[in-house]
Amino acid sequence: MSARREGHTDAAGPSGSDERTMGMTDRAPGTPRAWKSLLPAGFGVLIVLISALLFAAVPAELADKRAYAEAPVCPAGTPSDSCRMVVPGIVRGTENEAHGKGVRHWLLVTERGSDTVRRLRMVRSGPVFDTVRAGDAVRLTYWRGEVRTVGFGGVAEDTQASPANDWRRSLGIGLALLPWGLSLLWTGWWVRYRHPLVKDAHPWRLVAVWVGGVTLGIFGLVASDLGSGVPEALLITAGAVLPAGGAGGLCVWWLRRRMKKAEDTSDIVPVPTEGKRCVGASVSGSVPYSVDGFDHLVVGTDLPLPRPTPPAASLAGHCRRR
Amino acid sequence: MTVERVRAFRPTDPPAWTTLYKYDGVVLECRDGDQAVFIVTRRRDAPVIFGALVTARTTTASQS
Repeated sequence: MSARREGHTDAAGPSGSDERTMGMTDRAPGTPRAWKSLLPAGFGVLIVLISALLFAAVPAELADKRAYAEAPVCPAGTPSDSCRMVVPGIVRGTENEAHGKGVRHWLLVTERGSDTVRRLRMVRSGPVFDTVRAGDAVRLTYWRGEVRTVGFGGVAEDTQASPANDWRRSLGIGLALLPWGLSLLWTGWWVRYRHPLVKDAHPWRLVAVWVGGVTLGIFGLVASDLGSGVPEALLITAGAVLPAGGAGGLCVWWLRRRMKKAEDTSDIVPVPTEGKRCVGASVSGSVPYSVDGFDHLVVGTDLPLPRPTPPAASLAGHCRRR
Repeated sequence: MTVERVRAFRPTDPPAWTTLYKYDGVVLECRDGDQAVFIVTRRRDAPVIFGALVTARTTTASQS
């Protein structure tokens, strides 16, 4: 019985190892597994695609913005989708609604001759939203069936439905995602082709690219929010390449300095201990005082050698760490 | 037991050491008879352990 079982394992042994070697032939020793490079590369492709879709949406949003800005004011009594209709309204109040981490600003208005209160979501707490009080008369600009702008005195403020700022969100998120996606793609390439060749355990270039890429993305997001138009936002982002690269370089410099400091142990010199003291340390080696799970040493002038202490003892107060 | 040298972590060291002490750890490479012993500790605790081992050695030496 036992002989048969042995015979069986013998027969299965070589074929099993053959399968394993066959699977390994395309992979040199030390080469990381395929998924380790395919995973970041896959996510990289996905994120680059999303940012491309967002960029593709920008021209249409700019066309909408232009169409709204250039739409003529409707002739009295003939509302149409191609023109702007300005109607008088009365402010009924304002609302600041907490939503997640942000605040939503709502303007409550009624149109003349109607009691129905409309809630208009404003982009931010702007010049109109901040100054109006209940009872104030405002001008509501309708375009394609929605209130896009609220005018009060000499100032005007866009509502969330205004197409004036739609491009900012698409461009900003696109610009923020693109360096991120490219960094992921590059990480995939680096893990697949560079990592096996580089024996250095600390991937400095990877750190620099990531920090630089993420910084550039943040600049792109802010530039899209502040820039007056697409060219200006892109120009600010392009100008941020240098500071972003600097941030990556600085990060690597700091990490390298820290590593060098850690490498240098010349400052560690023997210091005599007064009294008994407990320090965190683990001992490894084939000696009786190397015990798994013991993570403290008792040292002191009254003890001949450091003694390992179990964590339980330190919890009970026998071994007090300073 | 003698301390042969104090060094920082190397990529070839057990990963558990780096997990436990990050970049803040050092290894005291010691020898007890013919056995190699590694004491892993935080950088700021290393001088005290080092001191205790050196004191122990000199005490033993003076006693014998």
